[in-house]
Amino acid sequence: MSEIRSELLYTKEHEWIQKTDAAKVVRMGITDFAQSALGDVTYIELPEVGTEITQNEVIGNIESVKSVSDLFAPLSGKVTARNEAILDDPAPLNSSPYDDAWLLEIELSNESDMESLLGPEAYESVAQ
Amino acid sequence: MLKQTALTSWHLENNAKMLGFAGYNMPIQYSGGVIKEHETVRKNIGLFDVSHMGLVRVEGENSAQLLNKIVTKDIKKIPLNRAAYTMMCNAEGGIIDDLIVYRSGDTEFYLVLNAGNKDSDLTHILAADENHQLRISTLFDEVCILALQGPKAPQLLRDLGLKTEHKAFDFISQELAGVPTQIAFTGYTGEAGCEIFVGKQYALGLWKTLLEVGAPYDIQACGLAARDSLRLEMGYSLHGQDITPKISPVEAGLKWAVDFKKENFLGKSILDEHKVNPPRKWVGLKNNSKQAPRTGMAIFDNADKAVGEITSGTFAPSLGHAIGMGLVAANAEGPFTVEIRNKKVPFETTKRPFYKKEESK
Repeated sequence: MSEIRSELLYTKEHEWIQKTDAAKVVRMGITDFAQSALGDVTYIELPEVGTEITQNEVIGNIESVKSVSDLFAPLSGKVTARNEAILDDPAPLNSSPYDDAWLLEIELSNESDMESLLGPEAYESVAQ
Repeated sequence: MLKQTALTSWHLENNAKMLGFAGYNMPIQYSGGVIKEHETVRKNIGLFDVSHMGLVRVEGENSAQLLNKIVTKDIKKIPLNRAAYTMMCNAEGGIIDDLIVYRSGDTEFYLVLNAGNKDSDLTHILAADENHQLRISTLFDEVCILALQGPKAPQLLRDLGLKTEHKAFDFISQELAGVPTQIAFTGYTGEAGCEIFVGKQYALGLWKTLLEVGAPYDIQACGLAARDSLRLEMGYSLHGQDITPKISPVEAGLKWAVDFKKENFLGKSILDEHKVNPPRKWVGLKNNSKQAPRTGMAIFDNADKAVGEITSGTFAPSLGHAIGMGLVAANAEGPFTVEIRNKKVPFETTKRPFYKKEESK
């Protein structure tokens, strides 16, 4: 059974989103379900800080030993930070997907886009 | 409906991630993950269920002669209780399958075929035996194959009562943990060890015994994902990717597994031509990135011209970087780049094996 945290929001592409202290800025990563399905992650490709991204477009890739999976923009906005440590060593993406292994921080163009995200219960029905 | 092996229930009880492979429900990895399994085989011992592979026994007065018509190696040269890696080709010199032939008697051989090619291989063997001189027994549903691989595997076999030392490609009949087996000192990982042929009724018992007796050596059950990354680090070809009915042994860099001096065999005239003038050649590629080249990605030469494609590639856990192999035009010259998601990534060429013991990270 994969872990789903009650304080987070989710997408059907198995990403989690968390509000930060900064106005309009969210942090994102991939869910426990996603890391388990991928297997051991070996390489991550993320957009540069400053990149404008549009909800649902492919913005990066996550490679495991056997496969490559697209990373989708959960929301529209601008990338304000990325987790450089996880690019050097992707192992925490498997061991700690909700904490150490966040991927990007995004400054949202429209905060109302948050309404399109799934709550923990809605995500639970997707993650099986 | 996927076929089961005698060990499927064990895999499920032990939280294996399962996947349909060549019609069988097989373990891809267990809960520890593919990298841990891979490292276990390099350092200790891994135990694999490879019962999906096709075991066939061929007997008959002229068995060596008849098999010789359809395989690239000279079967007559395999000594008793030894084995050889070889291939079956079509009339165009393309590889129908690669296989290991084990000699268990003057006129008796065992063949281990790739799971997905069993049916086409049998058709091919039967065609060579036009006068029905061979007794061909398919043991697919009667025998399981357990691959015991890793530097500590020979010690585990001694603990289980194996008294004699064996070299790679030996093939013996041996009682192991109280059950009759045949032990083939072959594998697909580059490590010491063996593949054990055991009757289906004994397979689960033997599997559990190997795990119990191997516990002091940190033995682990391993899935097909680790088997793939291990074989890729050695540069071993995988049928369906690196070798296919449209690729010849010469192109695939497997000339060493062809006896060109043998009088004749199916596909030989084309292989003789390829030996002089091959249309394509094998390349091994590596770089310092962790971003893996993948099957089907285009390879470009030093003039930025598309010259071929990647047939297999991965992040190599024992090396800590990306490796790949591919086929390119025979006259193509590096340095090569591989197009990975719209970016041309430079690679340097390298020989196989990619992984050598002394170079591990």
